Formats: sequence, structure tokens, C-alpha cells
Amino acid sequence: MLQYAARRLLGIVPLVLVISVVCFGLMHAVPGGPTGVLGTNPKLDPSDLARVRANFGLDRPLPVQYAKWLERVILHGDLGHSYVTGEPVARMIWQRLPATLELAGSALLLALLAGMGVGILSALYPRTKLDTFFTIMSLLLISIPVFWSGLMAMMLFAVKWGLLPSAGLQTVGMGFSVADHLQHLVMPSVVLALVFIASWSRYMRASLTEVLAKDFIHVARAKGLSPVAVVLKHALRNAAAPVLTVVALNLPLLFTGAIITETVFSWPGMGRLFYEGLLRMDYSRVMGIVFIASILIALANLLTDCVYGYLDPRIRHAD
Amino acid sequence: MATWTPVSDTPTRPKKAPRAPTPPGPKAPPAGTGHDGVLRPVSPKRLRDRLRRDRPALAACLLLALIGAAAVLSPLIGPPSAGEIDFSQRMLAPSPLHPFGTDDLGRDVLVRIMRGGRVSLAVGSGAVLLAVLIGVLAGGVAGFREGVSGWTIMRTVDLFLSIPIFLIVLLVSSLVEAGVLMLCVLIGCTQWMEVARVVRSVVLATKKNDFVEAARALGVSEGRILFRHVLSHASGPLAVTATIVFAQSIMLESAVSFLGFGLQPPAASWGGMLQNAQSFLGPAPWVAVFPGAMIFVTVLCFYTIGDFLRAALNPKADSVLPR
Repeated sequence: MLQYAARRLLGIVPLVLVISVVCFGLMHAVPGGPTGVLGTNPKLDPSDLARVRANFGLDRPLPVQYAKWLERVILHGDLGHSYVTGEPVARMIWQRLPATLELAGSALLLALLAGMGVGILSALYPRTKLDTFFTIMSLLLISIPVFWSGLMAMMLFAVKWGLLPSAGLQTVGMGFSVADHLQHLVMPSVVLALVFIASWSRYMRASLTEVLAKDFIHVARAKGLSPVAVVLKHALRNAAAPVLTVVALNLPLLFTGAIITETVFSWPGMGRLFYEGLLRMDYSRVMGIVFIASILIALANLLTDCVYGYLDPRIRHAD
Repeated sequence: MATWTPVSDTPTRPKKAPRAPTPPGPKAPPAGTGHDGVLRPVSPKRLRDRLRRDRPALAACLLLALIGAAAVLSPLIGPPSAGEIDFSQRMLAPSPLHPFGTDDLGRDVLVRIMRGGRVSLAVGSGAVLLAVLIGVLAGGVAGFREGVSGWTIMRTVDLFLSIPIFLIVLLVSSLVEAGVLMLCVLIGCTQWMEVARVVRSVVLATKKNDFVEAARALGVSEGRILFRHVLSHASGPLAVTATIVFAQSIMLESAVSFLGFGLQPPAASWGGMLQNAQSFLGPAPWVAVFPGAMIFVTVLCFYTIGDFLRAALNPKADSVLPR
């Protein structure tokens, strides 16, 4: 198992390298390069701009710059400095990362639990009223854009009924309290989770339906195991693996959703940091976030591969 | 929704050769390929008959036609001043004169929605065309040539699937002046992977057929075999995927516009209208409700039609399997 995980970990290195090259290329494809925003300032003397560029090492050939950048990232975890505020990008991301992980993580957990639960119920009672209801609900939920459901939830629960706070991590002016914070977390994470509940429940239903028709399930039933044990111990373990692949494939989407949700609910996470970076044309910050997000997604995929390998031993001996 | 009427095989089909495909060629009917690899030809007429019985899908088609017509004809409807800024008409609640109300600048929301529909549908169609073009080429080659080129293409697909693509789309659209064409290209380039995977799997299943060998023996060039004879079998699954890609493109465009990196004001787009509406959810909720509802209904229609096509082309498939 460890060997398998190590092999997979090596596999993501080239992926992250390719992404970093793309990021670096994009950053320099910008008109005026990474310091393009400074060039729009008419008061800035061209010689000063040249000095700033030399200061950031931007006057050297691109491959050299890339090598330097990579060296700093690998050896020091240094993603460079913001071209707008001068703050280290790594520190900015580090400050915002927990909020994003909290939002995306709670949405992921919620979506996994609810999606699996709904999928299991649908598969156990196929073609009943319950199944039809879930089917129609999932079709409706998957068609709702996350920013609209966010706005609608905000309009109803915060503006109209005043049940939940509309934005931010905590109530302004009040000290931090867990209850207050959780209240702020509820709406964004539920809104973010909805579309994944809809999608994953369908995959769970399809996968479990397929497994329940297999011979070993009939054997388990025939030897007198309780229905609960058959489903939870025998069927679910086999049905979960394909669903987890979908979950892994959807992680970039979860991240995407988090950006939009963070913008709607003023959640101070990486998504908002990215959005503000775009508005202020702060490209070193933007690139740093794309890079970190890619690594996070690659790691999540790796984790899924490991869980998959654990659930289905055939996988880890396949290659 | 889950009408489970299997597309019956033609009774004259020889029992011993279930894989016998329809004669390929320009006039070959669209064919779907099930998980079992059996090709199920569905004539356009049979598809129409089926559509007539499937009420949700029929309703979705009619609704889409209505939305499309409203978008295309929007410049012709109402007085020319409709949808213009009018400060005496600010934030009016829905009424017979303004069925969807007016926004903070006194513009009629219904008129703006119809004009915004032009953007959403245009970007959606352009992006689908591009995604299908790239996806069919990449998937076709990857399935037909399983060697180095196939491997490279599929690793590229994996790469595209594992990067935070939305961040890149936002970045690029913030760098360049985002017009309709630019959005089409940008979104199309991020939606082709699913098409490529679907096409590749059909090509992999189809190329083992004897008619491919026969064509080769007759001296038909490899390119012609792929594009003329093999790829025609992908049209069914391709249609299903295209409807889903259409829905996702509309969703992506409205998300980009919502964040303010799409078409710039005063051009109307559904996502852009929502961005604007955020600031006055309390006093004028209708400005947020209706544009979002339009995105929702349009996407829902495409998913419904996609689901109908999936069921029609492959009766074994489970109905409603959203991605």
C-alpha cells in the first residue's frame, strides 16, 4: 500500500511541473509582462519601471527566470512577491487557505454524506416514489448555477427572514465564537454542496444498483446475512470505488464553486484572494494561487487513488 | 421521465451477427453505442415519434425554441427605447407594463433578459461547436491510433481535467477584451475533454468491426476510414455529450460574467445582470430572481434533452445521469 502511494506521488510531479510552466508562460504572455499594471501609471518614469523590473529579475531571459522561480519554490517555498503590495505571495495564500479549506471541506463532507445517502436510498428502492422524487430533485439541483442559488439563499434566509448572517466569517464587532462562525458557514457550504449532492447521488445510485445485481450479493443474502450487513459491508465497499473517482474528478469543480461562493458570501478565502488579484492585475499572486490550487487538486487525486487502492486491492497491483 | 421503451432492433437483423453495423456512409442514420458495444441505429423519424411521447423532453424542446426565438427576435420586440436607462422608472416591482420589473437604472428586466439571451446562447453554441471539433479530432485520433499519439492525447485530456481550469479561464478573460468570440474560444477550449473521451470509446469499439478491415482492403485511406466510416457511429453519443456541453458552457459563461470578466456593460448578459443585482437584493429582489431563473431553465432544458437522447439511443442506460 505504501509503495503504491509512493508510486502515485511520483506520478504527480511531472503534472505539477507542466502546470507551473503553463502558469509561468501565461504570466509573461500578459501585455507588459508581470509588471504590466505599473506600466499603466503615467507618472512612472520608464527608467524607474526598468529598475523595478531588474529588481524582480524580470530583465533576464525567460528560461533563467523560470529556473530561478522553480528553485525558490522548491527550496524555500517562496512564490515570489506581490507586484502590487510587495507582500510575499506564499504568506497571503497561507493566511487565506484555512478559510477555503474549511468551506470546501465542509461542503465536500456534506455532499459525500448526503449524496451517498440519497444514492443508497434510491438504489435500494428503485422506481418508487422516493426514487422518482430524488431523480427529479437531482436534475433540478444540477441545473442551478451556484451563484444564483447563493443569491437566492441570501435573499430568503438573510434579507427576508433574517435567520442567517449573509456574509463574512463572523459577525463584525463581536469576538470570535464557534456558534457564530458556524452560522456564517452554513449557507455558503450548503449552497456549494447542493450541486454535488445532486450529481454524486446519481453516480452512487447507478454504481450500487449494478453491484446489488451481482452474484456475491445473492450469496451473502442466501447465507442469511442481515440486509443491513449485506448493503453496508458487502455492496457499499464495491460500489463506493467508482463514485470516488467521480468525486476526485469533480474536485476542480468544487474549487471553482468555492471561488464563486466565496465571492457571493464575502468569504475571505483563496477564491476571493484570486478574484481580488485579478481585479488589481496582481499576476504573481494569481499565478501563485493557480499553482497551489493545482497542487491541492493533484494531492486530492492522489488521496482518492489511495482510498481506491485500499477499497479495491486489484487496482494497486494492476500497474 | 424514465420512460423505458427500448428501441427495438429491426426484426430482419440476423440473430447470429448482433454487431452487424449499419452501412456507413453519408446517409447512414445516427447510431448510438451502448455499453455492450452494440450499435443501435435510430432513425430521425423514430426519434421524433419518441419525442412526441416524452412529455418532459418535448416541453424542454418547445421552451428552448421559445427562449431562442425571444433572444433572436429581441431587437424587433417592443419600442426601440425598451431596455434603455430611465431614471424615472428605477426599481419598479413586476407589473403588467414591466412583467419582470425594472433594475436600478430603470431598465426593463425582461427586455434585458431577452438581449442577454443572445449572448448566452451565442457563446453556448460557439463553445459547443469548438468543443465538438476539438473533441472529435482528438478523440478520433486517440481511439484510432492507440500508440504514442493516442497516449499523448489522453494524457493531455487528463492534464486538462486536473487543473483548476476555471481559474485559467477567469485569468485569460481578465487579460483580453472579452467579446462573444473570445468567450466561445475560451470556453470551447475547456469543454472538449468529455467529447474526446466519448468519441474515443466509440472509435475503440467501432474500429474492430469487419467493415473497417474491408474498407482497408479496398484501399480506402486511413483518414477516410476514420472520418467517413468510423466516426459516423459516434453521432449518437456525440449528440448526448453536446447537449451537456451546451448546458455547461452556458453555466460557465454566466459564471465568468457574474464575476465581471465577461462581456462588459452596458451589454446585457444573464450572469452580468446577476452581478449587478447583488447590491440591492432587499429593495429589488426581482432583478436577481429572473436572470438566474433563465440560466436555470435553459440549463435544465438542455439536461432534459440530453437525458432523452441518452435514453433513446441506448435503452440500457440509466435515465437521468447528470454529471
